[in-house]
Amino acid sequence: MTERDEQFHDFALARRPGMVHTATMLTAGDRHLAEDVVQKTLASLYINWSKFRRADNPDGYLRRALVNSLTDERRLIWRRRERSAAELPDTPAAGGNAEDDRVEPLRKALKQLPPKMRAAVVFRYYYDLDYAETAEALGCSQSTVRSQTARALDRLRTVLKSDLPEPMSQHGVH
Amino acid sequence: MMDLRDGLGRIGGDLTASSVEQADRDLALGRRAARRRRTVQAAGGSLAAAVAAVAAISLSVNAGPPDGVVAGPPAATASASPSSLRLVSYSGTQPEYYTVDWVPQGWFVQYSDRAGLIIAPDEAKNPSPGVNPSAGPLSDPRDVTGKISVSLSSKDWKRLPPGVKLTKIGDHQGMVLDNGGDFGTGVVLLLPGKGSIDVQFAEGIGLSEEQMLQLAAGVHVSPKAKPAVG
Repeated sequence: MTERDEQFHDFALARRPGMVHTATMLTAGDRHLAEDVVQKTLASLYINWSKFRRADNPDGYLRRALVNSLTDERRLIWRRRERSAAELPDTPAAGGNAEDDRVEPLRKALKQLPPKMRAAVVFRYYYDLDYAETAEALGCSQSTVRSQTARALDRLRTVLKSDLPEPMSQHGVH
Repeated sequence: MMDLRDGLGRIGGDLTASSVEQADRDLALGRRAARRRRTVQAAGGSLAAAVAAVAAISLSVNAGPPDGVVAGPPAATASASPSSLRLVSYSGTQPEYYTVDWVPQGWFVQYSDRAGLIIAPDEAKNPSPGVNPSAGPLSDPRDVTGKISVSLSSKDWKRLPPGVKLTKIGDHQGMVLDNGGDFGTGVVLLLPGKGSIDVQFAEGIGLSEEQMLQLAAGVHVSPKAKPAVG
């Protein structure tokens, strides 16, 4: 095993669970798609391992790679066909108890959001990234992140019926 | 009431530790992806001659080599461009809802239905010694890894992806889409008022773009074919 292989192996062992967790949010609870996205992301990281290792912000690089893999995955026309042909159920991440019932409206609302808008919500309001970090992950401008999160929160607010962060603030930025 | 962050975390599911075996699989997939990438890069030089010979239109979706894609009209013969595969006239049984003029030599129609078909290499039905023929993506007729897939889509493509222009592909207006990364190349043939034919070529299968265009132009759709839902 080469040094690169050993480094990658250790990385995959340590970081895969978190990547799946993030990807599952980015896919609105589609665990199957999330696993595919993570697999593609890891393969991409392996190919670009030296570049990844040299990155000033490896976590930012990883987030961007996840979003790109998700975008690529959605671009696969055949995949959409394949999934519809297989009549896969609209499967939540978990199911069958009261907690899952509580989260299901949010999951459905997230699913209705465009992927990058959903990603903006995840990075801003789960990971507490600021606008600049979120913009870097999505490959767009900070103003786009602002408008996307504002629109997303408008949509989610009606589902959650709760106080959501003000989209134009820097709520929770670390 | 539910807190947004709490809800997102629940949707993300539990953080369960990964296993050494899973990391082994990730490493194996990474190595395979790297090999495919090298194959594509090695084949990249053959594109240049083909592109220079035709009125090519740059259709790069993802900027930068080696993922940049250039499209031109299909060549008159199958052997005009060097590549690791050669196109031949398809002599096997035609699928019920489609007609295929060209396939890579040694490839066959592995699966078909109203919404599309999959063309796979011969090793899918004649695996190498020691390979379990009932396992792996090649032998799975619904898995497109390492294969060519054709699907009928209802998408009208009134809005083209940024940077993409239509070009003549066989009897159709169409476009070439670089799917990026390990996802290969897509050739889309527009069917005015009826959607499109989408031909996806897995990365690294050994066809030049010229050959991809020729193969795609040779796909004909029966009126009985129907696009997949979604």
